[in-house]
Amino acid sequence: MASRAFEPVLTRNVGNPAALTLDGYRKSGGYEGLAKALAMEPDAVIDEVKRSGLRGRGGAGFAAGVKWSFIPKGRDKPKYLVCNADESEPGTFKDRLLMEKDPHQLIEGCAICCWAVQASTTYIYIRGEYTHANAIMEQAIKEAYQAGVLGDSVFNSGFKLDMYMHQGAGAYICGEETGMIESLEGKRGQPRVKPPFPAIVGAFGAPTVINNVETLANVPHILVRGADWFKSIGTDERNTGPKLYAISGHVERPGTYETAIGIPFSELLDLAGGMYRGGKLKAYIPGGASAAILTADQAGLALDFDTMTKAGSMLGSAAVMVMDDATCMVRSVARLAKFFNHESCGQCTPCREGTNWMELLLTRIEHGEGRPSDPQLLQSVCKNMNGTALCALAEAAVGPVDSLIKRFPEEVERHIRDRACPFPQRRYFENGAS
Amino acid sequence: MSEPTSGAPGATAGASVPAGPGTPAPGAPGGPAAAAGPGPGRRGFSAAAQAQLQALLERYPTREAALIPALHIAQREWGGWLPDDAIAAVASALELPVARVYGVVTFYDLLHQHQVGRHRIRICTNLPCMLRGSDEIMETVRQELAVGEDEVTPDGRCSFVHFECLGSCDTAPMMMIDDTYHENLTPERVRRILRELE
Repeated sequence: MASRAFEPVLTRNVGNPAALTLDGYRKSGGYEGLAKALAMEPDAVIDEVKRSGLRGRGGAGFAAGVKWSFIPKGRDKPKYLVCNADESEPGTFKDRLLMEKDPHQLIEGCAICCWAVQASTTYIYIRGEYTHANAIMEQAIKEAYQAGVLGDSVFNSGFKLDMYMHQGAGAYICGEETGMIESLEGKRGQPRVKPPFPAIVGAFGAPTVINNVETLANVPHILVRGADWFKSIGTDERNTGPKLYAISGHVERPGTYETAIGIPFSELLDLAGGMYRGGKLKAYIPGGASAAILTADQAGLALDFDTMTKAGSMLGSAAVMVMDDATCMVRSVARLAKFFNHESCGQCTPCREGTNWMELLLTRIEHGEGRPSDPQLLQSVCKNMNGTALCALAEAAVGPVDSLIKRFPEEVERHIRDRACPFPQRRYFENGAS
Repeated sequence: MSEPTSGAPGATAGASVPAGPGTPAPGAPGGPAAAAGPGPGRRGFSAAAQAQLQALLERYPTREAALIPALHIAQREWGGWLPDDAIAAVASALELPVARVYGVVTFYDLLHQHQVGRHRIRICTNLPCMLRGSDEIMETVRQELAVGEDEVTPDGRCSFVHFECLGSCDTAPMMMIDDTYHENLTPERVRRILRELE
């Protein structure tokens, strides 16, 4: 089935329920990375992670080791790690898998990070809807405390580390670093002005690292197997390590697939069993709702950070959404626009107003009420949202809309010209709903 | 906004008490000691919830940071939503102005300011679920419950809303009922699941 064999790293314990317990996790080689890290100088741990080339798996792709190195040295004041488990990017479901199937892997990654930057507390900010993942993480953390992996003296090293789950309450914007910090502090999740960056002024005014779940899950393996091993996986030195791809939409076997970073989309599609009910590929979005849409003739592109950026899209969270040729692109993008309009926190005018206009214009085009000037108006809205807001949500909303106008102009125009959506209403279930 | 109350009986000024099944009769005398079970109509946190709240406060360097977790606790205590009483009780427990708490409640989708059903149904309709038939799932739920979105069925049993991505796109279409994910749905499965709800 697999066109390229890959021995799972991050998902090696999926299908091994014993790993949910601390003992079971240890039997799979767990907590060796933490033990190794504690025997190293904190800076040496940062260097190893830097050398591995690990880039953030949450969306922005920032080098994790470099981020850690921004944290001021010394232990005179509190520092925090906030693990971003808010996973709300449409199409993304990989972090839930990591937490539900291998909670100790994440705890270990968090603990190593805390040792490296000398942070005393981790908050794992998990989206409020993930109640099952939260319960599993709570149980694993409790066990880790009992075994002395967390608490007053991690592995009797004298290093004190507390770890808490913190449940969000349903807001996409809390996945943005500073929105998350605001929310953790008990406020509306409205992003902050940067600088100062969280590494200097983060949670509760203290230096704070914020890393995605998958990013941290990589860390124990880098410690155990070394930066050179990690660098040997992937496309090139800027795109290294194993990667989880969450593929959904019109494929036969949607799911989370782990491969070396940079698998071509066409090969990932094969792994996922090909197109749904034998359909024909029309388009795919490679990195969550915020990424620009790519077309079928771009199916050979490698799903890595740089290739996707060069193609005018982004790897983002590697949430790959696939659409077949019976899919209306206007309708699909209108749905994403509705999402961004709902999730805009409202503090920056270009985003608050722009996302509203996007939904309005796309909805009327889809309903056959579009005007000939609407595509141009949409492009103008996009232009006015780029780089004019405090956080990346505005630009994220631009991604799918701008690529719709540029890559599917005829489809948009046809909606307007014919005063109707050219695609028949699709039924997925034979019996219907009645 | 009414003052936070420490459980003074009869101090129900202006608060609309929902009359769901199992709800104590509005205005029923119930001092702190009588308020044993959770549910709407009560005036403050139960002892168990207070203990939870206390444990929470130890996790953070500020009291304010416990606000969202505290609101989750309050919402469970008050039958799934946050009437003014609940907001006032949280504000009082965390020593925050009521307006600050209210501002946070209005920001988050999982915190409700109006009555919801005993079972809260959230149907994912974002793109990955839409590409696998979530429209038909919405239609089925609407027909089956015979109420509009965000309305409560006359028996107080259910309310439903469409929802943004719930992170279960590999099992689309899906919905969340209370804390449980129901995945790989078909209209037929949805009907069965809804009929089996208590």
